[in-house]
Amino acid sequence: MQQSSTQALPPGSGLPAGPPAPRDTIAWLLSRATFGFTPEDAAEVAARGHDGWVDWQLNASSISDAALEQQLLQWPWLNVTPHEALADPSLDPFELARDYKGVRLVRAVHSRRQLFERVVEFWADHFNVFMGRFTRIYEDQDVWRAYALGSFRDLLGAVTRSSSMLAFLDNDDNIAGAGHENLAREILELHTLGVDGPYTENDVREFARCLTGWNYVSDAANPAFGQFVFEAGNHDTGPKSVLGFSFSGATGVNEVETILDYLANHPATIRFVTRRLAQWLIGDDVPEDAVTAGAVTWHQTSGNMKEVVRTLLSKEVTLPLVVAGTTKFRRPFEWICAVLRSTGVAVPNPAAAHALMQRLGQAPFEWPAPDGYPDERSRWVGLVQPRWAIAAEFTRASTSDWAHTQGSLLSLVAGVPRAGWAQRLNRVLTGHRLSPFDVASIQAHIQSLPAQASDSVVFAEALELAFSCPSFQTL
Amino acid sequence: MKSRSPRTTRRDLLRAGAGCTAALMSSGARAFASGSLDSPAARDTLVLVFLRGGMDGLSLFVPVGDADYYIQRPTLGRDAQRTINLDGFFGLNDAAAPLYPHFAAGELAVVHGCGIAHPTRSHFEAMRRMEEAHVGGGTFGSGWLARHLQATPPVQAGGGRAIAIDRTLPTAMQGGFASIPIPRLAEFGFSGPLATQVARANRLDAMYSRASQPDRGGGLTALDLASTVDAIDFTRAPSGGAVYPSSSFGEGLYETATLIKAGTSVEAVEVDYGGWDDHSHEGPVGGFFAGRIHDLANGLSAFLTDLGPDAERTTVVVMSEFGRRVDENGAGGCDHGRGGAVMVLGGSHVNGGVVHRLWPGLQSQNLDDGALPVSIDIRHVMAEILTERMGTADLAAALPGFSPTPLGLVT
Repeated sequence: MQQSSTQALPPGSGLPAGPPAPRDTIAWLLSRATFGFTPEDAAEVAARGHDGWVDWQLNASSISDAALEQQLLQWPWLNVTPHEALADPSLDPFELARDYKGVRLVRAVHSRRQLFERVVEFWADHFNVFMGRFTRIYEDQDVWRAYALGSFRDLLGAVTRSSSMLAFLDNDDNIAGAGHENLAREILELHTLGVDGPYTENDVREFARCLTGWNYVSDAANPAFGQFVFEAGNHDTGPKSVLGFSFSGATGVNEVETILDYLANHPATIRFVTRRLAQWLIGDDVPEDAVTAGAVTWHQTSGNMKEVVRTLLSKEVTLPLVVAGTTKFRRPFEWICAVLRSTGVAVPNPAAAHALMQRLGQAPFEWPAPDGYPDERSRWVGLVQPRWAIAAEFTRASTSDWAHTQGSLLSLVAGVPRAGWAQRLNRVLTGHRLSPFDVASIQAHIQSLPAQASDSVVFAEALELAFSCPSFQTL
Repeated sequence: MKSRSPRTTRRDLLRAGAGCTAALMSSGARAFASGSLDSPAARDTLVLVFLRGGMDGLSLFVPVGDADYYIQRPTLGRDAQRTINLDGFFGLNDAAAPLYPHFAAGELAVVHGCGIAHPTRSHFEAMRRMEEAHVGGGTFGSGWLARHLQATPPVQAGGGRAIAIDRTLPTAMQGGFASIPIPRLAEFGFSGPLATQVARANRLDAMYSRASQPDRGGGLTALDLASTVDAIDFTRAPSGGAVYPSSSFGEGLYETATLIKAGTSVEAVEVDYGGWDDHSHEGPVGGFFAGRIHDLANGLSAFLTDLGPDAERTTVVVMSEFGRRVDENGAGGCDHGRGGAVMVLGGSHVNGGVVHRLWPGLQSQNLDDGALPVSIDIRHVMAEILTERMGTADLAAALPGFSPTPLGLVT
């Protein structure tokens, strides 16, 4: 095995002979399955083994997250209902919306359930909702988090009944005799079958008729404000024909449930959603074999997402990708998470976290279209200047929001002479995933600075370049 | 992309002037900017305005001469008194009245029933196809503007060539050279301690020069534009008494005009405008749609006024992924349609004051599944502007497999 793969390499290709070193597979897995490498996580993978670590992460509720939960307690508004939020004069709707977005960063950086957070991030784009009419997207807690690693059918059903989605795609205006297609189209095109899937314009319009009367309680004085309600009086009770199903019109809310049952495990849905998930977890040019492996698991488990993710991240599926060395471009949210996790710096307060994410170009719940933030490399590679600017500020703690000081970052290179700083940063920030040229350039910069310059000043320069260099922008 | 050609960008200035002060650097960059003004621009700056969501062209340029319009839109249909007569058949929604002087002055041409020749009614599929200028199977994987830039040498060597005032790069610019998104030009630059600014920028230059594409292009273009854009004053007062609306669209156009006036290497700017998916409560009179077209018209009018003589080397194209169905739905809106309204604006090179159309009539049997058909392929518009105003070196590369017919939109 080792010999044949060595022989298959063209001479002078520069690729390492044989299977990758364990430290490289560990760093690769952590780059995909977490929001940023830490040496502690690397030790955890080493101890549990690749598939063992994935299994541990997939049983997210069994991982103690006490420190994060303690931190979240300082924001009691995270658990109030929409009705309570409006009734509480101490809660400003603008500040609530802003802070709620900021908490997304707190969870992504500080949760020990890293793979779970990665999957939540995926669903947040797949089932994207824009925080327009609402001060909060309740799905984040009640839908995506509740069903992220459960059955896709359950997740799809919960999303379709959620007030944020019903409001975002205007289904409160989709009533008998006065309907429109907005939600119906996006369920078919974006949530399930995909744009090339087996449906027609007529299916869109008939499915929209099925969705008439699907609404949320819109009276803010009602304690149930924001909860799903099927308004039978607004439901189109005429006969309908959609995707091969015929409804007499007398089955009410069950029409949509029947269609969702059909859509959730349709081969086109399985292929479309598995591919998106694989691209998210693995990379842009995901091999067909990986998609097929995930799709087979979906078929076998009727859409148990925990098992689909387990397949996609299994050692068997991912090892060829580690060998191939394909990379994925970090989105802004992933970049700031990696900066904070690798340095151990706490997320600033939610308001500052939100401002930071806006500057970087990817604040949660602020993508206005239902397709979610893009995941394609070509969309993001030009937006590096905000990262450089924030790296320059972060490494010198030059704005007041940070919980660290310029000097405190020196602990990353404690006991290491300047001549070894770039190598040290490569290890602790990424698990040796920076390019040799970038590491050499960072070291050359360190050497070029005056010898009498203080450690903290020189180290800020080095760390800024590490966060700004091209190989830190990729997974 | 092979080795990059010699150029006089800020990065070269940085290399030459290691240790120089900020004042020296900005004067160097200004010299660069004014140098480009000395040599007259060989081509326009193209400004793309993409109205995301499916702008209802029938509510902006209203076919008041087509009786079926009022039958299909019993509540949304406007009466002719509330439009401004354009040519006896079309009326301009009076919420967009600021566009009228430009139409009358021949600076605005409209193409109605225009779009991409593909039946999709998906926003995202239609946007991708329009921005790729792609009607066949599969995908081109690159934008029409990107392919033009790839095939056409830059006006001046080095420097950024296209900017989207946005968080992410739109499809039209993907796969091309030196094209990046910049959410706010006024905040763009290279930061950190002045003492090491040159050295750090040069390190990044070296590292991104070694990265693979498209990462390399993204990083290097950001470095190039950081010097160019940093030197521009984004606090200037608009010229000609222009008043931009205080919307993000107005702000984007103000920054774009400022960039154009500074005379940089940038050949194209995209300023998108979202929120046109009017499935319900459209409000073409006094409602949401009316508010948006008022903002749109005010912004475009201020932009042309502010540009003044620079409008002679600027061409604006306003497009949307599709128009909306002719028949209104029951929710006070219209669902996804096909043909929309495209606008071309600029200086005296625009043959304006015309609404181009091959009007089928709005009786149901003349429609494409309830929608105004695409009777004019938007690639005709793209081809004419690339040929007449953008000096394209290879139209077939920009618009593969397409034989254009000029509409006479620009001279």
